[in-house]
Amino acid sequence: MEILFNDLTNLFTLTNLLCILLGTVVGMVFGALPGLGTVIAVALLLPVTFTLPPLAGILMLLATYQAGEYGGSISAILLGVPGTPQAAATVLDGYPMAQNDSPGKALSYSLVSSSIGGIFGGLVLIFVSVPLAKFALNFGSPEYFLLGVIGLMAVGLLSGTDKIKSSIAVVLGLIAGTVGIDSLTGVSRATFNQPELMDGVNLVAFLVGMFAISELFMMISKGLNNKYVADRSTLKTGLTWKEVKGIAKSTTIGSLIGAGTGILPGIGGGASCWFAYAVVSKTSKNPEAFGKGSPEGIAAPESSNNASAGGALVPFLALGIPGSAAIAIIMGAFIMHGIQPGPNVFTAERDLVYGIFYGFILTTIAMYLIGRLLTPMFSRVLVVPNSFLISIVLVLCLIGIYASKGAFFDLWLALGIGILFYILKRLNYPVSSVIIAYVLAPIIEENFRRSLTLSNGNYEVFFSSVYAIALVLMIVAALAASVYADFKKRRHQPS
Amino acid sequence: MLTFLTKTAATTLACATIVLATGTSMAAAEGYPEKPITWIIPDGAGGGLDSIVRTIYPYVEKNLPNDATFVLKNQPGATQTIAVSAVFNAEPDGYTIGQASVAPLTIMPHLGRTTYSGYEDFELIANVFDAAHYIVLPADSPFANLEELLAHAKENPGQVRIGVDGVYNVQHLPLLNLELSADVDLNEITYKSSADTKKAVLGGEIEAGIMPSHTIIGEYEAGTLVPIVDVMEIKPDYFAEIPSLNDLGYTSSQLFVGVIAPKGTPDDIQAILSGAIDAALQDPELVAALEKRKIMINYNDSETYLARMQELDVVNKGILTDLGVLK
Repeated sequence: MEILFNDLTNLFTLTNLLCILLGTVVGMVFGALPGLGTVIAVALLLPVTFTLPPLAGILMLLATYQAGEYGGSISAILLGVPGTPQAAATVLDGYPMAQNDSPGKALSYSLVSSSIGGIFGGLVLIFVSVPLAKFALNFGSPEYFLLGVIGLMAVGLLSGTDKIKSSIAVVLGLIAGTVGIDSLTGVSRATFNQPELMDGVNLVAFLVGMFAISELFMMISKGLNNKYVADRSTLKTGLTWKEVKGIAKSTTIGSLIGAGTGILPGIGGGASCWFAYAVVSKTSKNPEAFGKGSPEGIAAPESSNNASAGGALVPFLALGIPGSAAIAIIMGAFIMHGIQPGPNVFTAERDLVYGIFYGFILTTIAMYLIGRLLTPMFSRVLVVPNSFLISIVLVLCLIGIYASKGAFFDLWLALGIGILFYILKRLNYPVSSVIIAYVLAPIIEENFRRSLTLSNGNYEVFFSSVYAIALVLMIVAALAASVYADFKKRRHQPS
Repeated sequence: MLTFLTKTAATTLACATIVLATGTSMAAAEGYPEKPITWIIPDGAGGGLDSIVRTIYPYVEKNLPNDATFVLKNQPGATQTIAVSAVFNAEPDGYTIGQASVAPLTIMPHLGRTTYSGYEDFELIANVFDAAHYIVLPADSPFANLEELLAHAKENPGQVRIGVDGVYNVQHLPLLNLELSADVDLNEITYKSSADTKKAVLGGEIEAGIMPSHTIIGEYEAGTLVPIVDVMEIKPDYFAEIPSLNDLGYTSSQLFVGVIAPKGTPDDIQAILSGAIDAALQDPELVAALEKRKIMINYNDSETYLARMQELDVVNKGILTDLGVLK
């Protein structure tokens, strides 16, 4: 393994280390601010990189990306509002743990699993990026469609016992996911002649409305003068060895799923956190703890979103295909320096690529250290009385929505979505099902129709490769297992 | 007498008005700009076009009088029509300009998706750069050139699959036009972006795909992707030997990106802006920065920019009419 003995003196320069630190702090803070998130943090720092040497600039952006993935969980845990779409699943267990048990502990679980996920993503990048990138090419439209279906089935695993409410939630999410110009025919769907809806419902507005604005209404209705944390001792951070061991399995599964979905361009962290959460909740020894503050429920999505960051670099560096929105912006830093990611980058820019590989591990270490430093401060947010907290969060959310696209329309949209979800929450609908369906709807629909266009309408396209067949078998097996479980339950509980 | 007086008064008033009007307009240009100029970017922060404008704007500032400054405003979405509509709705006082490609000006209006009726509703200040898009084959393709691909498609209608990054857009229209004029039926597969098209060609999902020239240089050098024909008129120097559709007897399209302003922006202010863009695009520093990023600088003054837009608009309108989707 010649890459192991590569000259690392280029990496440990003062400029590089300072850039990584700056990127980490910016990423973490922006990730933690609801609505702003990773993509805006990376876009903000992009112009700064033009004056830097290529490696320093790229590492700064990667550090921002990594830290943003963790930062998103900070507000998810403390406020129940994910700072980034990739942290949406973290709300399910992070928020209850922060409220009922200890916010400091919840953040520590997130930080440790994020860091492990980040290191895992980095190792994948170093050792198997070229073969993995070639492997990822085997996943075409039919395989993407089947993956989307598996994701939708995970909704069934997540949502509560009320199947009707769960189905309604899924349908709502799917409807929201189809708004906009149909990318295959160019026809407008449910856009009401609003140009702002042509590209679909703005994801940031959707997330902020669904999590933040509806949650604000909930806070108001519960009483404005409350504060979350009365006992300051629960702000303590840090985990015991036993606690770390308790999340070992879920972190491993999360890292694997994160890296696996990360290498598939277009699936990304937004879906991978739900895949990880669903698999871990189904295979856990304590499935009943999920949704009530299970450490495993934090570790799974958090390790997966950081592992997917490393994974997303794989097709980008090896094929020049950006695997996520943040990577697409980081690509700008490469191009600005006249570097073309793709098949030649490993030979033409050898030093740079290996600098990125090892620097990526460094960004994870920086994220862990700065996270340890800042986590106690972040968790202190919760001693602020609700009346202050609500106002600050609302303003931040509105800035975040506006910053994402510069459209006032999206602010009204978020308010409307917020009111809708407040009602749904009061009626005990599983709102997380809506967001998964919303994220997966375009993946499922477009790839289904594209597959059939590719095959001129022949359904055999969904069995055309070993990967497709394997995915179909997984779907059949999961369906059979749940039908069987249902059947057994009914036999044991005769009416 | 009274009539004469009134007439004289009226004439004097009219003259005064004209003088005043010219006077104010001259004054506007004289002190211009007195405040920051808003430059609307039809792309999200960090996007490709966004970073191009962010590279160019300091050089345009440098070439404007009165310590001019720009405020950049990102308004992405709906094939740039949100940003172009914002320019359309702005005051024509020279304090709002916008970056625009040809799609929101010569395609989207004909599909009935805009509040403005076309490029005629704007002042075209200057063109900044051109782009080339190629039909690209994988390395193991059975076809060596466009003729072979079209011949195969003619014998097997609908069997040759070719990826494009949208419906009725700058990639799709020249392809549809090629199909009409060569009388072949290709199976167009729509992807979300050219990066997705590239993945599909590399993965063997489709027989060919259309991609921007600068995104395939690495693959071209490595031999994994083979560009066979430029669907646009202008070629980048690194692909100079590859023919364009025009070279092969078909009709090339054009993809150029320039600066527009609201209709009625004073002529002298337009001239100041156009001149500053021209001077900026000759600055060796900016030229080097854009060349490094494979941007094909192509400054056109207002007149040439308008002429190219008119020509392309006729072509695109014709294609959309032939397809029966004109609104």
